[in-house]
Amino acid sequence: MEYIFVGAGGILGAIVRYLITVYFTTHNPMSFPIETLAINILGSFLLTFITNILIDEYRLIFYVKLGVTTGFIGAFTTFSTFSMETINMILNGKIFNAFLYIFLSIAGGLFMSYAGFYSADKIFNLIKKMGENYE
Amino acid sequence: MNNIILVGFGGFAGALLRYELSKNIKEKRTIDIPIETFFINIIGAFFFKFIIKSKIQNLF
Repeated sequence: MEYIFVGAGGILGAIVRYLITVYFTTHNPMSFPIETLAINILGSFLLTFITNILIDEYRLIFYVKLGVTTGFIGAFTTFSTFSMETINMILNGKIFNAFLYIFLSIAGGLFMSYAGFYSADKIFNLIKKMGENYE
Repeated sequence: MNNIILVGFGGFAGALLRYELSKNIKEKRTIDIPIETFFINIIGAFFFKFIIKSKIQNLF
């Protein structure tokens, strides 16, 4: 069962990433890989947000969470593209761009991971509080 | 449309391979560092550049 969710998430994640990359490269052709940066930063946010907002209370939620995190976000984000683009920039003599890209990817990813964790925590507590008030 | 089907197929295979590898390494690791993610990222970075650079796609 888990393979179905992971596989389906992988298909969706890879297609969404492909479409975003195609859109960015056709509408905004820059030498700086802004599309990979945006994808990785958004993925960092979504991963911690979903991991912290969905509780494995039910089996179905466990599978959905696995499909979204390991499948969708795993296929959506890309460390290999980030590495390759950095190496290409270094080989093309764009050293400043390469280090800026490394900094923005790591710092941005960490910041957005924390933002995902923080916002999930806040939303979860808010929903819990609303439930308690309703009872 | 063909590209989207191929990308989807690759995403399916990649996600399953990553899940399986990650699960196997995680079960065997003895240190408290996510070595499975590290391993997958390093291998992926190597193969991505290797496949692009080797122009293996031109063979088909």
